[in-house]
Amino acid sequence: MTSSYPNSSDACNSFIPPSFNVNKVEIISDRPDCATFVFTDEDHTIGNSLHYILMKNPQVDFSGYSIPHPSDNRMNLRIQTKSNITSQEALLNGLNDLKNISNHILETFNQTEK
Amino acid sequence: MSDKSKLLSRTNGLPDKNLENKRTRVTVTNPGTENPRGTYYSGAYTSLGYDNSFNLESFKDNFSINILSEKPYELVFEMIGVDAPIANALRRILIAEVPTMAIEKVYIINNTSLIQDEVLAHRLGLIPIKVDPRKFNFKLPNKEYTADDTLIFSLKVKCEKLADGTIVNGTALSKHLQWMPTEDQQEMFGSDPMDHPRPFDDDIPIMKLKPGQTIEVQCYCEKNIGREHIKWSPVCTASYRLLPSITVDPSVKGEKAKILQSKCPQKVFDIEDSGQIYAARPLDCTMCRECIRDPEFEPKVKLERIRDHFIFSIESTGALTSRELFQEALKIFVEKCNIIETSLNKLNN
Ligand code: SF4
Repeated sequence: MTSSYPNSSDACNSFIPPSFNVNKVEIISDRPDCATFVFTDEDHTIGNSLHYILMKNPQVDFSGYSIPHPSDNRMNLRIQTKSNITSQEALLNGLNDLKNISNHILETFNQTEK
Repeated sequence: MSDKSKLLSRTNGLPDKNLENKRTRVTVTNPGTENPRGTYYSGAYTSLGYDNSFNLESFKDNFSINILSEKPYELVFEMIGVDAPIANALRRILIAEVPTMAIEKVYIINNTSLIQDEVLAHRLGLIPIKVDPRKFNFKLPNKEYTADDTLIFSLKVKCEKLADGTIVNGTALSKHLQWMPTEDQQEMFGSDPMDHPRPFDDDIPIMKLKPGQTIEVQCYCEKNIGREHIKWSPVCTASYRLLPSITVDPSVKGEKAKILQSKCPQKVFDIEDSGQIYAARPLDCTMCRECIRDPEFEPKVKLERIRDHFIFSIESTGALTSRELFQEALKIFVEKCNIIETSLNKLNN
């Protein structure tokens, strides 16, 4: 189940285990405006939050995610856009929004009194 | 932005009271919960003139955090203005993806106790180790142990019966774990023994021993995350609940108010001088539904939870403080997004 480990120690960073770092995403798509993204070693954490933020994007028509089998470390995310952006752009926008949300929560949290 | 979306507002909510209630509240009734799922589609309320899409500026305007109680290893705070998928992602990251150090390899030199080697190794693994995991790297498989990915503890306990009949070391405790530093590590952690890596609690029983029994083992700690094994989870629990909102119909007064007040086991209600009853301490409400069980009060009391008001609690096992854990979780969330982004960009080139 574990994907292949990179051999160099520079693949190490202090947050994420190195094995979770390789071949993260694959794209299955025959049209620019819809695609299924297949994530390795991701689960509801990223799946549900991406699904949520994509649904909140007015340029996205549909997004949904599924974990086809619990003992398979894959997560599928389907995106269909309203054709003025590609599904990949929509995904990148979504990731950006999530990062902005996180950074803002962190900033606000750091300002709270001890 | 198109002209149409400029006309949409976010500030006033929906004009329809029922729909607005559905959008912002989870209702608790006797048979169960109503509207548990939020509506996240950007265009869900377009026809009613409400903009349901995500906008960073209005998110920032609405978002706030308020600490309710803080101890080093127990933090409770309110997180207001964020939706469930984000709060849930943070909760999941806290449980399964913030790394810590835990005993992973146990070399058994001698074990004459009643506990089998593998059970002993498992018990050792679950002992929370107080050391900042950010000082260490993940250990790569098939590599030698190095000072910056491994901590070594030795456990050597012999149970004896003294001449006067007292038994020493009848229980092997976590405090018997001795840190065996390498030279680099000794420098890294300084000379104060309180700063040294050690089990967070001194008195966790590892096993019972009878006179004459001995254990001698060497434990190798590695860094990893809770998804791999729960022993690496940095929290006892990380959980949230939604803020209860309890509204009582103004017609409940006087004697009736007193009856209702006495029904609540959590003492949520107070009675004003005018005889009017109101929920004074909604934070204490456990949603036991006792106040709506009586058919007389069921239509008079509205039990709801506010959909975007989270009461988050983080209880740490000791490696990092709860505050640090939440900060780490947010950084990891960003890092996860970055990894996906990098991988997507690689695909395109
Ligand atoms: S649900 Fe239970 S705790 Fe909450 S107000 Fe009603 S009786 Fe009190």
